[in-house]
Amino acid sequence: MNQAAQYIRRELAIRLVRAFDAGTLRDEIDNIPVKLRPKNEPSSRCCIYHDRAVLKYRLMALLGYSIEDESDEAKTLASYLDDVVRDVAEGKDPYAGLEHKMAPLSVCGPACSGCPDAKVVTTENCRGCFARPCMYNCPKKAVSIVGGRSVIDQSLCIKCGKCVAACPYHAIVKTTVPCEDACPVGAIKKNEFGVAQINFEKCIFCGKCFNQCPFGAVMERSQLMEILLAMKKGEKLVAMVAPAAAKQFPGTIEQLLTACKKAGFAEVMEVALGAEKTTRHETAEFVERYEKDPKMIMTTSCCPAWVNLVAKHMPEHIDKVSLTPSPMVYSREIMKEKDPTLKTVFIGPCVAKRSEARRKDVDFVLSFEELGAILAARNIDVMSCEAYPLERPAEATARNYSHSCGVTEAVIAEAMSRTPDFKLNSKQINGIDKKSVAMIRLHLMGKIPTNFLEVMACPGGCENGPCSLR
Amino acid sequence: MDKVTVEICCGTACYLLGAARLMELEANLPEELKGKVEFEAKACLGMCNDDRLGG
Ligand code: SF4
Ligand code: SF4
Ligand code: FES
Repeated sequence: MNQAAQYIRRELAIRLVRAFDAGTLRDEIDNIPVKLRPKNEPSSRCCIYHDRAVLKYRLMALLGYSIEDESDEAKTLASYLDDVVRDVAEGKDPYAGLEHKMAPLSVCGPACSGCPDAKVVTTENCRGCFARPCMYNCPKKAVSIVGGRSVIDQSLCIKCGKCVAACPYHAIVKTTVPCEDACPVGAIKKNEFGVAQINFEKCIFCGKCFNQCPFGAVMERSQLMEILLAMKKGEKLVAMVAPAAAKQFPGTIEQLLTACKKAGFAEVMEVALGAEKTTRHETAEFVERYEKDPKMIMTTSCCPAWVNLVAKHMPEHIDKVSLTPSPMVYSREIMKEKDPTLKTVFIGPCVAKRSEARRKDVDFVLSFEELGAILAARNIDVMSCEAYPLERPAEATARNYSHSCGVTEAVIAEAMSRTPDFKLNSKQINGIDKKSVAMIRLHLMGKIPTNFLEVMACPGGCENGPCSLR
Repeated sequence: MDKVTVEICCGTACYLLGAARLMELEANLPEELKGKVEFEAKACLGMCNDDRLGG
């Protein structure tokens, strides 16, 4: 987790909302990088000018733009802002004509350090020992001892790391390119300029690279401006708060809902109410599939990064993904039935929900961080808010959707209440990474017996989502 | 010696910018300070709105 990058993103977002509310954003926005990195003060990178350039691009992503779509380097933030304001006023999508309009993530080129390619090398700690476990454990015979020291032949090395593990002096290190290392599907790679680039055909929007880059180079494209402008226009927005919000902010979820109301949302709801519906339908769907074919395998559909993984990388298994809508989609339905004029805003910890929202007509997605920025800028303290008077709190199993196993437990409880002797053989994949992708394939091919496979892209579940506050 | 009370702001701005982690101090006090310091989570202390303090 890159805290320095988190704090700078949050600070920028708070400043953006404050200036927006004060009506001074247009005048101020191009000065924010200078204000944050004044001369004669320390810099985070080589110099304040580099820092300022990166800050400019961070603000560009906060305005909703893909940094990759920049065509005129001289274009000011103020004129990007003008574009968004004009398009939103005319009811147009500000990003419509742009190449990366659908991408929820964007790589900030000037922030990317172009980390050197992964490599296994011997350091000074090598004592050229008698046992030479590095040499004997290397499956490719890439290690030899030259001048009393182990040397790795890079043309033979396959970077398996066996020698790294074998040396008792920790003399061999494996360096990595953190984003490439974190990506479960090989979607992020350095391009011809040595800058990381996401291949959006492959990307499942799990957000791992977003969290793992030590330079904070991967940014989310925010919808903050569109939301602020919609609020200002007087549109009725509903804050649909994901179950993962519990314990993210100080105070209770009921207090957070009040805080959202105070921040300008016309309506608030907990997405756990949608999760209740997901549980009912998911269980019914399971029973139906089971009765048709007791040997079937069904897998959950509430984690969009998971659904993206199947759709893009194992399409042969797509029919195993449940067709039950996610809690977010049901929440949208509930609110739209209540009042079709409402604009729906999903508030959560998830990058991939941004892609799901687009497919499922949820108007906007706001991360906890961005919500926090609105609350902070508007001086709303969650802890000092009253509890929101809910019609009824959502069921405990629904509120638990944010943990790994939460969906499974909810479905089991529901199934038991219908048919007590039900045979649900569930397995969970707690976090998608390179290793678990291989496990998942075995499950879906029936090599590991299961008929209900829960997959959450984030270890521990959404409460550890890429944009969680903790 | 009297106990020292440290107030930690858990207002939204401070919380987002690191106060959430400051609360972990309590569990990580050095031996010689254990029992001598108390931590209290506070609502916004009003400093986040002061431009001179970083604004
Ligand atoms: S979001 Fe996930 S899938 Fe996409 S490039 Fe980053 S790590 Fe890879
Ligand atoms: S586990 Fe939750 S937060 Fe993580 S990608 Fe899936 S839905 Fe999003
Ligand atoms: S939130 Fe800490 S001083 Fe306001």
